[in-house]
Amino acid sequence: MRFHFLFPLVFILFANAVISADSEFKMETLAEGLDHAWGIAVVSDNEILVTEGVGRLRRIVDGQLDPVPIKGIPPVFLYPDDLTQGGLCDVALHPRYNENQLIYLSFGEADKDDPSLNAMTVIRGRLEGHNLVDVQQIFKAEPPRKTAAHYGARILFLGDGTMLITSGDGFNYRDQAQTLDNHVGKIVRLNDDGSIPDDNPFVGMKDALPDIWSFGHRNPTGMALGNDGMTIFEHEHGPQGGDELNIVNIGKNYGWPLITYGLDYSGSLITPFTEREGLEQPIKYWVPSIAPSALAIYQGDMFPDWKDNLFITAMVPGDLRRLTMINDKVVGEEIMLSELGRLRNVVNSTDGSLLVATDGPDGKIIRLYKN
Amino acid sequence: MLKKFTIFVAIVILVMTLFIVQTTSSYMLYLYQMGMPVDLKAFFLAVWTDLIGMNFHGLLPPIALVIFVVLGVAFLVAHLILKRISVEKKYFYAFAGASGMFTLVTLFPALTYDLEMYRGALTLLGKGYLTATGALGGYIFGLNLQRQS
Repeated sequence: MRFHFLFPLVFILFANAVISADSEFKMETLAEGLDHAWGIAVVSDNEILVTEGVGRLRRIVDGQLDPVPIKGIPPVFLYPDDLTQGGLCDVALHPRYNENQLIYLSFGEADKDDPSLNAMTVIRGRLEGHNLVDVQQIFKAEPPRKTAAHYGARILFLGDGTMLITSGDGFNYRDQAQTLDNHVGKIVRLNDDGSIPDDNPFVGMKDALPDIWSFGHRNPTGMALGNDGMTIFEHEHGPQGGDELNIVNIGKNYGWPLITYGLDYSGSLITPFTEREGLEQPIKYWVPSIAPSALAIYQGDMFPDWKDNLFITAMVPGDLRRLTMINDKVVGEEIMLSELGRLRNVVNSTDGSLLVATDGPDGKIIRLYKN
Repeated sequence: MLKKFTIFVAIVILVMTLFIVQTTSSYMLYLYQMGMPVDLKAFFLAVWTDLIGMNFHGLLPPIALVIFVVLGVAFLVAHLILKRISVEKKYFYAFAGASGMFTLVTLFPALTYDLEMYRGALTLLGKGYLTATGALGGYIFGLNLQRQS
């Protein structure tokens, strides 16, 4: 009788063992030597596109990195040269890529009138062999900024064929995240050709840009559509502490910099407030920061235990976070791959495996799979 | 010598406090303008939090140490120059203190790829204020030296 308290403990230990067995994975390196890998797009069972921050778009075919980069990528804004942020960022496929071969790229682009300024830009183009053709700009964040940080730059297609693009606060310009006359700290929603959907929340509103979908963001670098096809998960870098995981809803204000759980890098407060009516709360936040870089929701069948789990790559200290969700609430967090250093991206592959990109000048694409 | 050092430390504390009050004011004023419930109590609590935070919780070196080094170098250079030229000490140390703080708030972003780590120095007005705190510190330091001599 007196040992009954041990039963739950035994159950937990047993359950963990089962989870571990089902979640065991192997790793293989698909590509290495990538200069600041950022975006990954899985084209087919045997083809993957990868961006390199330095401005190259690479192709991995049948597990081999094509030595010839794709031509036709516009020049990207690189500052500093060691590229801690910015450069060529995300790559996304058009939902009907198999018919039209259209891809979308986000990157920092030097301002044509004043090269000391730059702006986060999204283009689309058609992939023809090793060439990107019919390139057209479909979005440019306004106004251009001086800093080369906090671009956001994540692209996500929704079920209705429209796309969301994240735009960061540019570090120095955080106050503008609360006003709707600019793209600083915003998520915008566009049609696939760059036109603005009529049902965007601020269409027709005075002093508001009609492409804005949500605002009050800091540096949102991860976004994924839930397996229900409706819920949009997004994460953003906080300052010193206060990285956030949010569920993004139309027209909502996510609070930056009026509320945050982080401190400024100088150690000063940014705000003494962490909540306020009308400002959305994260569903999870991290103090200290983990520097979340990308987000994927597991969709495959290879790891049944991972179904619907959120995977977040983190750059500080560098690992992969598996978040278990129940009713859009985070109920568990497992830290994986902490031996690989800074991780930049994670995506689902067609066979149920996960692809992870490591950060840095010798970046790798690593596949997590089970026999 | 000990008296000079004590005065110098007191001036570092004064300049640091003015620096931090301005940092706190810059974001609290913004929050107030945006309709957040900022009152005097919240303001002074934030100043106190920043006094601790900017010295113990930042990713940057403690602000007291930064100002100690900046003013220390500025006043040392002023001391060496004053051996060769004849200018009223209070004005020359004020110039040296202003130069030191101006260098800090203008050159620091150059080291961080234009990222403004000290929020109070984001605007020209802020840079001007922080430069003036260096001038004030230098003026008081020079004045004390004049009185001692």
